[in-house]
Amino acid sequence: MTTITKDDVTEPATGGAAAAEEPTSEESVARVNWLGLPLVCIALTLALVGVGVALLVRADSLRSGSAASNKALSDRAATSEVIGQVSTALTKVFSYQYANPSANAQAAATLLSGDAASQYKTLFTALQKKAPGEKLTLVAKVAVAGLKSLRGNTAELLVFIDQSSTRASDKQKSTSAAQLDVTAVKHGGTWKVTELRPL
Amino acid sequence: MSDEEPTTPTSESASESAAASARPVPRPKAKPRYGAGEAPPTRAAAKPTVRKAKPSTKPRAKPRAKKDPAPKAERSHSVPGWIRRPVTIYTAIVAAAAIFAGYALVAWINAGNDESVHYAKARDAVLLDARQDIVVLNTLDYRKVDAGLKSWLDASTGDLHEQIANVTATDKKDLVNAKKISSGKVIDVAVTELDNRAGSATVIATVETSVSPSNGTPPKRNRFSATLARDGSSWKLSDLQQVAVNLS
Repeated sequence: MTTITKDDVTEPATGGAAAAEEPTSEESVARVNWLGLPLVCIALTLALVGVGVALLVRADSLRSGSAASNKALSDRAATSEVIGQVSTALTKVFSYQYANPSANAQAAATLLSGDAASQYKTLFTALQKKAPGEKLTLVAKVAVAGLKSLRGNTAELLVFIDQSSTRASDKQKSTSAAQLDVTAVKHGGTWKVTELRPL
Repeated sequence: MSDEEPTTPTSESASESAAASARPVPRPKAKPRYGAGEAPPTRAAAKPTVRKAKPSTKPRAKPRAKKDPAPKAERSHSVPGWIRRPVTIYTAIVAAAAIFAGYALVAWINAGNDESVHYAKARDAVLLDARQDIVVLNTLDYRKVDAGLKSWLDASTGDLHEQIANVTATDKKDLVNAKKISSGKVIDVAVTELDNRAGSATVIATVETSVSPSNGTPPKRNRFSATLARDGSSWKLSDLQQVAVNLS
């Protein structure tokens, strides 16, 4: 009985001493072991996520960079659509027949909007005053048009227009070469010219 | 009591060994180290209380012996306690991160190889180079004809380059004798065609040319059409023409 208790007492004493010293080093070793895997995992996870995010950001900036976001020419269908519609619009708007001015006015009403529409009005009023007397006919033709930018529903173009004016009153004919900076906005399927800036 | 006493330690030691064997099961690595290092202090703490309080504590000794090492184990590796066991969870998290990184890599590679991105960049490069080259070819100083023609050569390629290279000495003399300084300025430019693979493009440009001495003539704005060809890393003019009025 006593021996057992002695044993029991002494044993803990040495065990306690050992526990005071050994476990600290062992525990640290153990901790390193236990923490080793999680730390590696956490570090690896953070590194992978970090790299992933960096790559996605890079990819996004590549795709949405100012060059890529401008769809001029790179979107062939949209480019030819804009150029086609704007060219037709400008041809109609800059062609005028003294005998039938309403055709021109109608074209302007449907194909122009914004600043271009108000610009046209001043031009048209001036034209209306002298055209009937001079029997003026204007024929316009787009020589060449280039799409500078196409972002969403807004397009910017550089358009070269040839225009001939014929005065039937004195049979005078003249031609002119115009260069226009054009802004167009797409309204439900059709492109409308919103700005006309002669260069 | 005397019956109990001897049995208690044995039962305790049995319970401890049971506890010791119970402990390592989930974490086999701990078995040798903690079996020796930890068990004694717990026994020392557990025993007196067992003896003093209740002799017949067979069922009680068991939970206590189990109870005591448990918090110690938790304390000594409080993190590993819940962390180390689900290795599969870590593997899954790392795998998920790896999949995400892989996806991002593919997205990045795709973006880098995106034909439309390359095309858009080429278009902008054409615009930039065309602007410069057209300015160069609309600029000439009679006092520096050779240098001027040299820069014309640098800005051109193909047929246009050859034409400029073939400028004769008499042509140069005429240019010098004209005593004019012309300078071009591109007002606006747009790409009308671009074949990125073939390395060819056409642009249209509005160019303002001013000549000095001006003799009263204001700067003129002309319409130009130009073709360009990729020459190394830059685009150079292979043709430059005015766009004439054509209402036929």
